[in-house]
Amino acid sequence: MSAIRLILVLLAYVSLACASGNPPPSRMLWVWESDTDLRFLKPAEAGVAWLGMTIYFDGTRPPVPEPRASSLLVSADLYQMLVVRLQPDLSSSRKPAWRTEQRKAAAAMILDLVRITRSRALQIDFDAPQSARPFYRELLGDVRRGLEPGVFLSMTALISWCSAPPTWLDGLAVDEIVPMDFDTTSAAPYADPACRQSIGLQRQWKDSSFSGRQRAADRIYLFNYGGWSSSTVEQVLGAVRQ
Amino acid sequence: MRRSLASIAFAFVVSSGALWIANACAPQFVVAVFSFKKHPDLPRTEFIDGKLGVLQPTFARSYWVIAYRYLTGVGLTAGEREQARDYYGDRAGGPSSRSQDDLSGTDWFAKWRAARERIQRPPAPKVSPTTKGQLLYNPQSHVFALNCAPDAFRNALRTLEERRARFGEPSPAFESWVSAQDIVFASCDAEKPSIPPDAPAHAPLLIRQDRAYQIAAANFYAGQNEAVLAGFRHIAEDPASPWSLISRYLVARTMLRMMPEKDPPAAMVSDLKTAADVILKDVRFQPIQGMTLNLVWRAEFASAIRIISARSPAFFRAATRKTVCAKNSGVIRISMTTPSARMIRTIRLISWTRRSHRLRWTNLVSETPI
Repeated sequence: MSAIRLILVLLAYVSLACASGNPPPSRMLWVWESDTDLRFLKPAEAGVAWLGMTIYFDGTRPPVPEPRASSLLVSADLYQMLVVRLQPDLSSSRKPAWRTEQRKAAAAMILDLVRITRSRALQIDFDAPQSARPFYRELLGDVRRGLEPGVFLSMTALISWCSAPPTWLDGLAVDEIVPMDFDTTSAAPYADPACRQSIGLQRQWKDSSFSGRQRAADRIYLFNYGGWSSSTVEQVLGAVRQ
Repeated sequence: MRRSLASIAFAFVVSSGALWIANACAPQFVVAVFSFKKHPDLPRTEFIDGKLGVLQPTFARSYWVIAYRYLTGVGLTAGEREQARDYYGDRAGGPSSRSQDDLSGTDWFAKWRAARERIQRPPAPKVSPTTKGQLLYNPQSHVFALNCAPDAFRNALRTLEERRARFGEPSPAFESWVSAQDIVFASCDAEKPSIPPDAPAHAPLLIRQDRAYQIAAANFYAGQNEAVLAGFRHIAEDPASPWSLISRYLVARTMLRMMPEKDPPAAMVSDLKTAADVILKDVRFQPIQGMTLNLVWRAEFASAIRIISARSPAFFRAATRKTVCAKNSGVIRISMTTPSARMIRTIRLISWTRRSHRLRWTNLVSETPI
């Protein structure tokens, strides 16, 4: 009887682990579209969230994918998260229509990219304006339903989204919400508990601001506008450790 | 007399002042009008169609060629305009470009897909919405690189139309060709090689010749360079094959592809030169000499820049006066049957102006015996 109970407990644990995906380590480096060599980075130090594709929206036209064209070299055992950025085509004067067919096409592109890159973790990065939030919510649902079980699904968030619930973030089909705390100096925790698990920082933060909400986060994503080198990685990870 | 002149001058000054006052209803600011240094306004298609605008001495030479032809009354045929648009197409950012400003090239992939989807047997394979059947993902570098260029789809489309006209649709021969071509293009963005099987022994000779080329091409896209070399060399030695000539060029093209980008070994450069020399010195290979010359220049790019910089724009303009248009052929011919050394240098100049991975300009001039 006790053995059966143990098996049931193990099964419940495994199913819970699968549902929440393979979570990233506590330190993640965002790697954007530039040639980057991080082969020196050890898995114990940090993982990488690398931009694999940007999808552009222009009026009612089908979205246009722009897959990564810059090289990223990392050791094979490093934790890797695929990032897909969605954004309006800024070179166009037409506002995106956020139509259903555009959403389905974008979801198909994202899932196709996950398949091609064999990614086990995915982050969607979209500074969605208010008019695009229903589109975004449904897109995240489409992507979640299309992903294999066990794939970790993350999303970035603007700080303004993390106000006191209820917010539009409630009930989103994601494993993690990463508020991009690039410019604020506030140490107060986010009103929405869903935003407290992880946080996104840029390298140029003021040391004095690295307190409170940053320290409370289980996971920190780090961005550097100039890209990463061994010295900048060492400097940033050293600062985060303090 | 003096008084009347003074009166006229006074009246002019007063009327000018009145005009100025009349126009002074709103401030007028200096307006900056920007123009491109190397190329005309976008979209380039207007320039290609003959709306030349203000020609700048700083424009790239390829624009001078087009401008000169219009200014001398020769102009460009529809086919030549299409070639020129294709030539500039990659400068809009490639097949996944989002900019609509200058997508003036023909989308040969879309044309191929449209033609392919109209064929019911066999049904058209699905295409990745991310790679669009052209980009290959490298899991080591995380880069999506162009593996199957627009020319591949243009060539396939034309062959498809020719084979359909010859064998009919549906027909076993045509279906066999289409199936094999689907497998060839599957290698464009597939992680694993996708090589068509040999054609059945009872298939028409042309289909068997096509298949040998398709197998070599599939190996090319799959990066199996040794198999590519063997395949294209074999086809090149078969004068009866319609792919014999281009395969000879593709042997050299593959050799270039096998070279490391940085500091290629001298032996590899030498082998490429040897292969290229065979083509360049034999008049039978005239149609592929332009593109072969370009390969050599790509292999020796640094020295090529030094040679080009010594040429004067005036020389180039003078040399292009020799170009004439061949009606309905879709190519620009050089009128001289025995080109001078100067003309050969001109062709090299044209070769240099084109982007490294494009072939069209060299094709434009490749009908000239070198």
